[in-house]
Amino acid sequence: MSARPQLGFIAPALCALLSVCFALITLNQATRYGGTQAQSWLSERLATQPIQGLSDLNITLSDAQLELKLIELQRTGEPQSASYLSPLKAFKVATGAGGTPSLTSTTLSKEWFDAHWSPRAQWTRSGEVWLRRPLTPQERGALGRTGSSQLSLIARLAPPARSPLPWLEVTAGVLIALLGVYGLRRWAYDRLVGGALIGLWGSVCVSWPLLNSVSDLQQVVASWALSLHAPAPTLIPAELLVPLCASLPWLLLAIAHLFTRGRPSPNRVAYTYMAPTLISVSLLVFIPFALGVALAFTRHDHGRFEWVGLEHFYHILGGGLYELSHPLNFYFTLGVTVLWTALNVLLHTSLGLSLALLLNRQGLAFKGLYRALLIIPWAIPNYITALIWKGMFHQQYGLINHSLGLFGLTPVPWMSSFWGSMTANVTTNTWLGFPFMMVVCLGALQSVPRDLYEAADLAGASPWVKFRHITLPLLIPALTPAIILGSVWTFNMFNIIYLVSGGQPNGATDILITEAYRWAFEQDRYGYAAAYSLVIFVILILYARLTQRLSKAAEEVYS
Amino acid sequence: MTEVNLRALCKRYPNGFEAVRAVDLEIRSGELIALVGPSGCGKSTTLRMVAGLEEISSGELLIDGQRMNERPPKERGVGMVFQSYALYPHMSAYENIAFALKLQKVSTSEIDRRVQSVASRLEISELLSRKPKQMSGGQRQRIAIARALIREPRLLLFDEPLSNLDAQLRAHMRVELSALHAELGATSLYVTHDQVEAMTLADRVVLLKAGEVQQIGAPLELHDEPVNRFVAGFIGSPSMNLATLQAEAVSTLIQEVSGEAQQALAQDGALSIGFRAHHASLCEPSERSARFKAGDATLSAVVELVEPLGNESLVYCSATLPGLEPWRVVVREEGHSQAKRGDAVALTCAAEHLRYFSADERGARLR
Amino acid sequence: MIKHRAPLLLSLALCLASLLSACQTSAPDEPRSIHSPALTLWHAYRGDEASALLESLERFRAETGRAVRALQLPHQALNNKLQAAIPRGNGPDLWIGAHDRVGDYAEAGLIEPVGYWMTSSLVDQYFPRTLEALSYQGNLYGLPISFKTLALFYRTDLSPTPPKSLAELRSIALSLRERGVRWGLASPELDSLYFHAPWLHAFGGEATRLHERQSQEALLNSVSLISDLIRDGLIPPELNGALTASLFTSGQLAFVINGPWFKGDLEGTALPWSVAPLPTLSDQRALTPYLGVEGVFISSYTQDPTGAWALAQSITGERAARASLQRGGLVAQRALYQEEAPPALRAWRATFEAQLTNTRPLSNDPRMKRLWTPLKRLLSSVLFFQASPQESLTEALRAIEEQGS
Repeated sequence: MSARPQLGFIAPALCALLSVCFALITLNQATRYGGTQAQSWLSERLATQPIQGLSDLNITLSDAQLELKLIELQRTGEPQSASYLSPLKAFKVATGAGGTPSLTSTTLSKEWFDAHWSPRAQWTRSGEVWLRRPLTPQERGALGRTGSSQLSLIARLAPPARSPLPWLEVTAGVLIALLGVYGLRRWAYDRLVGGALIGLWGSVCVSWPLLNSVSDLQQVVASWALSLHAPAPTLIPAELLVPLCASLPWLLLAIAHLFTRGRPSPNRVAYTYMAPTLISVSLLVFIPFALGVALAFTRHDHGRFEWVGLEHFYHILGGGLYELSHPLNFYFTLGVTVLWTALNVLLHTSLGLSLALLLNRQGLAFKGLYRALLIIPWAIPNYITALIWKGMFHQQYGLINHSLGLFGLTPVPWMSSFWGSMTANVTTNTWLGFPFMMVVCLGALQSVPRDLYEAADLAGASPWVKFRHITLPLLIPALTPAIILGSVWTFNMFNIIYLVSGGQPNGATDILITEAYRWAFEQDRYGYAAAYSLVIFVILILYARLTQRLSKAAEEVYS
Repeated sequence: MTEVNLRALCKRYPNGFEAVRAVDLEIRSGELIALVGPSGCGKSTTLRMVAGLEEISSGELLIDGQRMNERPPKERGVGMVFQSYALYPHMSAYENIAFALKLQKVSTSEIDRRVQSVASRLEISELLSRKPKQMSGGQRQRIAIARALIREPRLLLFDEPLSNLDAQLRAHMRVELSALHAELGATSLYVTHDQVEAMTLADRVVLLKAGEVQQIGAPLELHDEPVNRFVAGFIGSPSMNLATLQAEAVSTLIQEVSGEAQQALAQDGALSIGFRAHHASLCEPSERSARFKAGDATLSAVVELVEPLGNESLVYCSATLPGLEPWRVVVREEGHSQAKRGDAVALTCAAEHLRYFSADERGARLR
Repeated sequence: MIKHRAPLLLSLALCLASLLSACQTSAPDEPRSIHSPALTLWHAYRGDEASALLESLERFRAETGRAVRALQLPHQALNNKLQAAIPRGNGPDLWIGAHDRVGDYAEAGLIEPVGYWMTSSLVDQYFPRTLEALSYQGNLYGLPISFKTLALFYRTDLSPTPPKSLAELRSIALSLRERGVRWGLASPELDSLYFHAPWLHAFGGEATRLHERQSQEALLNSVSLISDLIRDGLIPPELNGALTASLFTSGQLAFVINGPWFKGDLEGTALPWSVAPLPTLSDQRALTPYLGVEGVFISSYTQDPTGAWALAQSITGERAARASLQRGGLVAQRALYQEEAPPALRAWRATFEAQLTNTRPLSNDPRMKRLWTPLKRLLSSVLFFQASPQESLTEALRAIEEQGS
């Protein structure tokens, strides 16, 4: 087998090389006219270059013909009182060629207009893209058409005469397939790796949503490049992506072969078993995450993305020009979140530990029943719990104020103050969260050997000393991961804050994650919210790294 | 020096099970008493009652004449070494030993002095900064002993301390414990299921079975003069060869019955006869008459297995009994044995080494 | 010899499949003919309304031979799906939605102005206010199906005649309080701009013009009026929709300012209730609530605008509207309100038709979205937490301006 690996390496490497060349060649062939990407590029162009005057109507691009027509639907007959009527009788087509505008009227029939209706764009095989948009009031003013007629701008983008695309595409694809087959044959011994990669290829080819989201990413990238005033990047059309992705397994195979020098990896079975998870995790987690990160650097406005760089981060980390005590200041919200997390974790742990100590007594009757009852808070969906508690904290008709009234105490206006709302939130979340800690502590308690306590008895230890010097240090290895987990969950506990206090009063009890939600879905500021989320992510990553060291140290007690 | 008295100590569990029944024991000062017995005989329970870790159901416990039934463990002045050492895993050896003193709020310098002195006596001074998981089994045990000693207890309790060690280390530690006891001279109560440990370490041995005391006495006393069949069979390695026969059958084995044998054989019915492996000897069948004298027991046997142990050999024989199933016996021979599997041999045991027990359940010794 | 045939064949098959699908993508898109197979319509109706819609679609199909595929979506998801699907060509030909999104749709290029097809007779069919709601920057973008606005709900056993003015309402409420009816007046969400708008408009203010002095003063006046009402114990401070309904049905609340959806909460009970137009303020200034219009919009990406227009006309036409009106819906067809109404719906129709003249369409400008949260904060801090109105107003104005950036 010593000679063959060398040969086996060549075929996939050749495939990879061919794919890359293919991509470069076709990219160079001006695919900017391809498919839906062309229309978005064109609409971007038109959006960023408003028409200043009739002379602007004459625009040509290099190696393409962009034709702009102004179509004006004019009313004939008496003007109507309502401004939104424009019965069509005839329309004029106006083109400008420098100097004085000349209006020529052509009678375009309604059928012609309807036939080319698909108003945003129409992509035909002959390579034309049609675009239509109404003029803005400023443009209308600039063109001297301030009247209430309906003006549209039609753009037609015609590609170069020849489009070498189809043939090259087919030829290249077949070539890639043949070479891939040859490579596979050569690589018979690496069947499992090959099989796994074929699986990847197949799933990519049939998953159109993937391609759509990738084209989204391209949109973002394109906007980014546009705003940098760079020439429009050549966007890869969808039908080009498929053969490219088809050759991806071969590329990967070649890379793998390069690293392993032809020797089969002893882990290849492991990789095969991991492949489905790797694929789904990357599709479901990594790609959306990458999109989110990209979004954080853009501003979103009605479907268009505009690159703003680090502006969002400056705004957030600079407190948003609000003073520190203002709820919209990032640091205030951060402080509230930290307070919320600390209070909750403290209460969860102490309550859970106490209950676990109680349940761990020898000879306690109905132990199983108590355990089951105490787990119920955790089992109920927290959405329902939050709504019920919110109702209980209602100032007039809530159960809690009602009970206080029965004892002769004045009812508390819970949601009217920061601390009242915080109490309501913390109470709800504690009720929800202590079973988890209790279960962890119970398990850990049962692993403490009994004779340690007996030795302590002989040494004369009181129950408190036994707890502090024996139980607690031995619980820490089990509690530490639970506390870390619990604190991360509580940090991001959206449901309770949103449902119980709703951020009252005035957004003061909003934590970081509800704040981000409001930015995204109440104010439509997706970019800002994405930046917010990214900041939250960074904070939590740092926290996780910090606590990793703590838990490692704690584990050494038992290992 | 401390004297401990156990008077009719009983342990009864709520479900009615009696783990310990009326144990009477007097521990003189400076003695090391070993509690031995098979699993479940109540020895650990007895120990824990003395320590105060189990409630005494009835009976009295007196330490230095004071009744200790209701006193909590820390007031009894006992130090205990557990089977699994019970060292606190998160504390260093120093802290483990010093724990009790810390609770008594002894000053740091005093703690240090005492810990160092105990450590040097047990030769663990260089281990003090380590954690339990960084030490071997033997080292951990010494730390456990140090911890028990630090409070200068009146009574030392050992709960099967050597069971968790391997054979070689066990033997080594046996010697060390023996030396330690000789040096300290503290009154100790030692629980073990291994009768070799009991025999070697203890001043007196208490043998328990099913919660009842079978015999209390010096190790050799239990070995040489067992009071019942259980004691005879438990003490000694290899175990005593015992058989239950009818009296007539016994008399066919013994020539010229006299003395003890006569009394025992005067009974009707069955009885048990036994002799130790090292009290029997083998010879050729033809030499039988030359070898033995009046009162000795003799058996014809066939060798089944010979275990050469180097310094001695254990010969397993199947002795024929008239009208009964063969009796499997073990005979110990010095050095290398000439016997081979399948040989026909004659077994002799001197009269003074024969022991007779009644054939009932109690198996009391017949003299 | 090829050792492993299966992977080989599989790879070959997949390769061919990918090539074929690639070819598929760039297939020629000829301009479609006018009579495409079926029109797609998206809506967020439930229950009765959904079945009524399907009936009218069936009627359309019977009359014109054009089939319509209706897709029911959750209300919140409708907007997102439209924004995502339409630019990619996966959207519907028409959809039914609320008018306040027209500005968004127009800016995003999703809807088609329909002034192109309107005729004056068609214009006359609908209430002018509803058409106003559906226009943006001078272009009409859809046809109105129905409208909703706020009215005064009251219990006829507690107050036989509805109060015409706030002073009258106050005196009735006070006398009712002695009879054990604890609260006088309520809206489900006091701190929502939607429910506060009638008061704001009555004082001459406008939410979209808060940068002007007049609107600011009007807002300060309206919040102080509501604060007074709360302090007098007329309005309960903390409420939600479910609580309002339960208080009203249990007789603890005399008057509720709420929209036509409130009928659903009251229908199951045997309560004697009725509606009336909102009372006026002391000096004859009318409480002017927001008007919400539901319209049918035509996608700008549709391949068959003529068919879509015909369907839109059918959905908003007389027959469909009459059927809806019989069920108690509030349609935008003007003429139908002149017809005889069944006794149960007489007051209903009359109230809302009268109230319609005193409404202001909720602005469909995309910038309107930014006002909700700051104004909610303002209202809640002044009304619930007794903050200073002037400070809260400054705060809110700052927040609104911030978001413009």
